[in-house]
Amino acid sequence: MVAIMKLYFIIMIIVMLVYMVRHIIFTYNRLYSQQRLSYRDIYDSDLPKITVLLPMHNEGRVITMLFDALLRCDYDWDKLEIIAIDDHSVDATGQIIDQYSSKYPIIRTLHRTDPDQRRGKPVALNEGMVMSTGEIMIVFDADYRPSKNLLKKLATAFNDPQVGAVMGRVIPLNASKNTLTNLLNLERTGGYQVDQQARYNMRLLPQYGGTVGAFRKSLILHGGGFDEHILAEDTELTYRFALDGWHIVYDNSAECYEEAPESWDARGKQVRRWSRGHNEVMFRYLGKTLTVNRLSFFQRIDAVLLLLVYIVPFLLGLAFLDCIALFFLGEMDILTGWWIVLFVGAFNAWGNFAPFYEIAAGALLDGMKDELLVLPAMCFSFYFYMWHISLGFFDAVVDTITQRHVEWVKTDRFFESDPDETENPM
Amino acid sequence: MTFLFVIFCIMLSLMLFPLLLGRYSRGSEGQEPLFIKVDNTKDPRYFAKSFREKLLSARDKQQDDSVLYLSKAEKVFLADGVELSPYSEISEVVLATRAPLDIPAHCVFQKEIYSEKDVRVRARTTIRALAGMENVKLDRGVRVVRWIDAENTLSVFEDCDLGISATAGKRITIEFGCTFQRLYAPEIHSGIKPWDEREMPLEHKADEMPASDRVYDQQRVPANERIDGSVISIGDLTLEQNCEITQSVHADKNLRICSGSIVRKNVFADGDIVIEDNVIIGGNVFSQKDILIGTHCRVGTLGQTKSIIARNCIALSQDSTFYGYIGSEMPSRIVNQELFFELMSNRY
Repeated sequence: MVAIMKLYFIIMIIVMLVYMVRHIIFTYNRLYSQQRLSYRDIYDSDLPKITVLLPMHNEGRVITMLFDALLRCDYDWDKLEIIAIDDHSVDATGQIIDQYSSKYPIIRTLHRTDPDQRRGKPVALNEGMVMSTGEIMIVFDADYRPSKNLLKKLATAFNDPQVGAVMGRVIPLNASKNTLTNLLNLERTGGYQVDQQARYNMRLLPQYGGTVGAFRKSLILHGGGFDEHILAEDTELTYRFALDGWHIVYDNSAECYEEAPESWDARGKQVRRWSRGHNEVMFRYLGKTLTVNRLSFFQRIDAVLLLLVYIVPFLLGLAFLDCIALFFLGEMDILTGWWIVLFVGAFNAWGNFAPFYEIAAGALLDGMKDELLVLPAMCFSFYFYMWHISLGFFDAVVDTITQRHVEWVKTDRFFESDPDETENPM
Repeated sequence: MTFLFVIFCIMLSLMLFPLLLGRYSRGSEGQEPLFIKVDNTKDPRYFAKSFREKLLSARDKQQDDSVLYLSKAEKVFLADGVELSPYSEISEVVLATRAPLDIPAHCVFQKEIYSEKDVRVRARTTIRALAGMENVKLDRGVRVVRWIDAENTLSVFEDCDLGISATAGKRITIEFGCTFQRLYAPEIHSGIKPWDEREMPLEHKADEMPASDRVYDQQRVPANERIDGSVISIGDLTLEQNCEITQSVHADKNLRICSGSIVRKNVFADGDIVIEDNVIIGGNVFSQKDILIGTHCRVGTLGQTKSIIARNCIALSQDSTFYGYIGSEMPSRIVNQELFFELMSNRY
């Protein structure tokens, strides 16, 4: 038994070192390597027809801001269609989208009110796609506020026939609200400014994030639409496209404000849902990712590490318990001599889920200074994430074994609409 | 017992230290969200338009003819009716509003020039920036430090350096030996004399095709082949002579388009793109490395804005026509046919 515990400990040290090296490479690439050119530099007066899909459930507090921001966008209205999907809302969402639709012909509505219908983002997107007329689908959650040229930036990339999906950058608007939103701001900076951009630079696998992103409709519909049983339809799209040879690109300049969760409870639920969805995708795609021919060796390695990213905190939690047990059993003399360096490296990487290197580099690139002082507090949020991600992992295991019905749970909203901002853009 | 309690308190403090530091650092004001220019729209003529806007607004409020308040107070040189001599050095903002502006050779202008009439800049003069409301002509060897814009046409003779941005509202003609970083005009003609008449190549209109119509893993498209759809290669790709691709082309490595070929839509490559003579491309050309374009080519579509963009540099040969924007991260140039073949042969 002790031998198994020791072996598990060594394996986890190696896993942590692999992830640590991955983050160091990404950070180095972002800071010192030549950056890959973004499609945003293209001027093209003949952009494709796009459909903006807005799946909403009880979003009456925030949707007017999103509508107003979209109506201010500089995309040619003859080539723009907005489909607002009211997914079983019980607040004023339905009435608000009807008001906007009657005022602006480019806004179409889809009311999903039948109680027998399945609820959730994937099914709402599927129905929205069926009624859409554009080939390029752009998705926003209701708490997002796109900037004026964001739609053009996202749509331009589809001039490249190899691009299947595009992901933009998310920036929390309420970073100053509390310590949690401070931390989320740093996490987003590391995740987008460094991690996603480095993966784009290195031609690996930037992740489509489900919002502030765009994809080709025909590719999804050809595969039967989004899988309505999976919570992480965005991760599923990433792997479905990548394994079929399509490129997913990241545009660091396609920036969009979002509302970050302001309570630890909301954040915990959000992370648990992400972990559950991501791990469901992991169960489904790990084997295919290892065997597919379309990915290069490094793409495949990165794709596998990305797939495993929501199981690692759970495995690491087990390793901590293992470590404590071995210590009290007096069996911690696992490695000696220079091999101890592995321990040091692994313990330095224990905050792997919140990769400090990337956050520090991202903050540097974004010109953040004082914000970095909050970085040590991530030591604590790491344990918080470890707990909720582990719960999400167990959810995914049970979902997969029992094939139970998965219920979509929306993240709580905190903003109130500012009446001064809901002006008529016309 | 007291000792153990003190040790426990110290250990607890050490554990809480990161949290307390983070909490303290946030302070009472907290973080501001990262700034996004939410109302920003892309415009290739931004420099000139912004300058013109500032200048006209400053002139409306101007009280003293010799000073304009742009971003700061600037001395003004009124050029109407003034004859400059060669080798002059002007350190003021230059304004010409009533008569065409003729700038002699070998002058140096340290500030912006604004003219409401035609402008001619004679040989070897250095200008920081120039906004012309009609036509602008640059003689041989003129150097632009920042940007130049003409509301109508911009004609550029040999060996000029066009700085960061050269734009025009109607047309740019640009001769051999010129270097540039960004060009924009509805029509751009490379490697020809500004007075040469251009014969427009035949127009074509691409049909809408489903995006999923693509041909995979192709290394070459044989001569005279017509492919209905896009061609995508995960390595190098060569389109041999007189091919026609009705959609777009993508190569994960280098791409060569041989003479006489037509690509109805866009061309993308992660490596170099070499476009030989007499090629027509209806859409954008985008490379993560270099782009070479030969003679008698046409990129873009009349009446539309399309782009040629390279991560490194672009070399354009003579007598080719482009509709829209040309931009690179490093200085690009107009080359003659001999140099074009030399650059091309270095790649094969």
